[in-house]
Amino acid sequence: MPTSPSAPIASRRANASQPSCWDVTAPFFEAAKTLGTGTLVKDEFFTLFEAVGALEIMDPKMDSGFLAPGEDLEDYYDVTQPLSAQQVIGVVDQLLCYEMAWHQGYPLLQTLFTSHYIDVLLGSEPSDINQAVFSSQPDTSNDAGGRLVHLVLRAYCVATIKACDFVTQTVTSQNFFEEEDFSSHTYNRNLLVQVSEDHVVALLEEAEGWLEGEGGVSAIELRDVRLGLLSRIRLRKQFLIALCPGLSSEAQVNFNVIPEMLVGLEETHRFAEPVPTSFSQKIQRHLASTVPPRPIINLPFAEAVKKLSLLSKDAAEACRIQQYLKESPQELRNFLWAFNGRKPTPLAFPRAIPQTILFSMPREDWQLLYLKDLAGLVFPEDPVLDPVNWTIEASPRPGAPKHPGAVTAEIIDTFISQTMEGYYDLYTLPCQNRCRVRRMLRHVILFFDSLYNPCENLDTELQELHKDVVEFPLLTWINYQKLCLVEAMVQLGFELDIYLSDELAEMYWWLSRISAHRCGFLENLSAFARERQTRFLREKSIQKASSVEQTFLRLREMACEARSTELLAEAFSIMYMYLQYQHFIPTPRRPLSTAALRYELRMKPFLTVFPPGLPHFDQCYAELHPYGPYDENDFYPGGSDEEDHDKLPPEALRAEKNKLAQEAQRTIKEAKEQLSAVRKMGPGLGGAGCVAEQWEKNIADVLRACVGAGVALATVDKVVMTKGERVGKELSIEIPPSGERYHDWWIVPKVVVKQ
Amino acid sequence: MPDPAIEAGNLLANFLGKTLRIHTQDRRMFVGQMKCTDKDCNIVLALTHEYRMPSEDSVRAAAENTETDKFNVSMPHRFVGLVVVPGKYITKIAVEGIESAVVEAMGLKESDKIS
Repeated sequence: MPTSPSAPIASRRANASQPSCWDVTAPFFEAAKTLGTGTLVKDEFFTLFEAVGALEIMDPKMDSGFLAPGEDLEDYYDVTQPLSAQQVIGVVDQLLCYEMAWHQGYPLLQTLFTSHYIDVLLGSEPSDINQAVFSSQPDTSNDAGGRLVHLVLRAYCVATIKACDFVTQTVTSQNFFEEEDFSSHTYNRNLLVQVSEDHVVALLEEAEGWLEGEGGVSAIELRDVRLGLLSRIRLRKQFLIALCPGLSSEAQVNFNVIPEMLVGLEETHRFAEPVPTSFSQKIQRHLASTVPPRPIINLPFAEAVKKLSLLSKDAAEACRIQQYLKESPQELRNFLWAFNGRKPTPLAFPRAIPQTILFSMPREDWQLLYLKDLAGLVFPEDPVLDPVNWTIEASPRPGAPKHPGAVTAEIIDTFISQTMEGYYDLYTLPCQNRCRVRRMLRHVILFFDSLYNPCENLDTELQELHKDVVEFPLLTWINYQKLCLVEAMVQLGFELDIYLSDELAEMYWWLSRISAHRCGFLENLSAFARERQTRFLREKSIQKASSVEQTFLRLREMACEARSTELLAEAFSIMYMYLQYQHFIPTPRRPLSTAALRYELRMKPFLTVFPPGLPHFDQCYAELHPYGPYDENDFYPGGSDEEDHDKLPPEALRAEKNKLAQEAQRTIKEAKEQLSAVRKMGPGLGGAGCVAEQWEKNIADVLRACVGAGVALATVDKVVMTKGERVGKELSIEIPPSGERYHDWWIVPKVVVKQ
Repeated sequence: MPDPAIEAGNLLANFLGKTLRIHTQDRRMFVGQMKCTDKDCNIVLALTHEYRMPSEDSVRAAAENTETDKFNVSMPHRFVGLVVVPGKYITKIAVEGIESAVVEAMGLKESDKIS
């Protein structure tokens, strides 16, 4: 029997002191049979937890080596066989589908690495482009089928691999979440890292030249098929150049032309003749032998084209950030948030682009950016940030009093170095996927919260040196950022459907409180800026006065925007309160928890955060239940029995509850006025000039939500007034899921009239 | 009179950490360190390699290339890591390097010796 086992066993056998091997089948089975049910004989360090991860042999879902009767271990496919031009289009289009599935987050194993062509190219571990070939025998024949495979298809495959290399490099060099955003695993394969991009481009150009020249014309009968191949090779080249990790200044243009080029592909896809045998799920058996087999991910061609087009547009948009690096920090952050808010959310690669550009900025530029940020909020034209402070040299005499300017610079430097980590986060955050943004927000909020004491101390020192500054300037800045983050976290909660329908009143109530707080900050700061502007005007420092005026106008715009959020959140809170009193949103029975504990759990991220300081549950309950419990499942054991509303006769109490609808309407109207004021001020003032279009759309959507909420309230109110208690028979309320709303953050209930 | 279940457990414990070669019904062999077993002879192996019978084509090719009666064909193998081999598929178990005392205790004969 030719059964000499190879490798590990064979090498061990060569060893003279090799212990002998015994057949123990019978005694082993005999002994095992005697064991009691449930008894395990196990290594003392081996845990059952580990055992769960073991692959079960002979289970087709777990055991990748399991062969069905008559099945071969591997599929054989001859990569050197000639193909027709239509078949090459078929293979190329399939590769594009897999490539886009990979961009979406699926591993290479289930996508591009299922191709025999790619497998052969990478299997020989080529270190230069001449080794990346389908066959070690050079293709000397000049026949069409050979050229199509060994030149055109090979060029396409090599460029695809190189593109994957670029994407992996770019994504993994930045903050991303493995397997959630992107799968960077290459299964120990080198994605042509050493092969220079120029050589790949040259190969693509050679293929392009052949297709354009006599060779291609005589080899491919149909002109459209030839043009189809050409457009695929050209797209490949364009995409590769655009993906180049340095992100040249032309990257934006390079990405921008891709959507147009895709038209050529779509038009000629009808010629594609699939070659299904050139792909195999079995290739993963040797690439990833320790995991269960995984299915191939099939993305339809039309969808892949759409994805690539979207990816290119997102990437082009991301590259635009280069223009704003020298602008205001507010502008930069608005840009990033608007980019993150694009629908659908940009994939991992486009999201890595702004990070790459931002974090290649030197630290000095970051400091300047930070100083600009401080100046824009708390130090408008302030001597604290006077660049002269950083040029004063310390006196060589020991013990000599330091110049106040130098001390100021020291304080600011200390502040910046202590808070820089959180400051970077303000920019990394909006480059993550939406769910991660919400989760990371919590950590960043905690970080900012931990800065309270150190900043307070620095402020005290600063205020001793400078009398005419905002009260606790550094702390104000930190607290302001924190409030923005808390607000964003709650709003993302609405967007991501985190809250249950009977929690909406509570969450909008909380949002309203945060925005009110933020608005208060901004009003104080703008009053300060106004005062300073007047002073400069008095002193005839026209230039400084106009600069401070800009700050004042911006702060006023921001205050106005915060106020609109506060009012609208209040209106929505009242609206949901009203709907709960009318029993449209029933409180579920929750026998195993109490309202207070649920409140604590939901507000966990904000429990310690100060300011604004989370109100005690009693206060929350009292404010949200002005007329007692909503229904029989909604009761608060801690509440006192002798409330005012208990003294009212039932009729009067019902009338009071019904009045909530008008109250909500009134507040919506006020919010709308604020929003219209913000809209009139335009995007430029608040630093959203870079994303004016999205800014306009955002405001328009919020206004639509206002109108929608008003209509919903009016509809319900009318029926409540005419039908009284029987309203539930006439109407019902649905909470539309995210994506089907006027605005993701403003959940307008859908009123359904029952038949 | 010692409890037979305890005795059986002690006997099997001798194999823990030892390299087992487990043959399965589909003519594969798994070589790895034994970690755990139970009443149904399900065996957990760590750091396992899977060996497979050479395909007919490769045997034929090797036979054609040799001039003598004997020839070697390597078994295709790959690393599969931590696996559990269900007892019902096991056709043969062999163990490498057990102490001679254990060999005696189990009453193994010279014919049970494989290599």
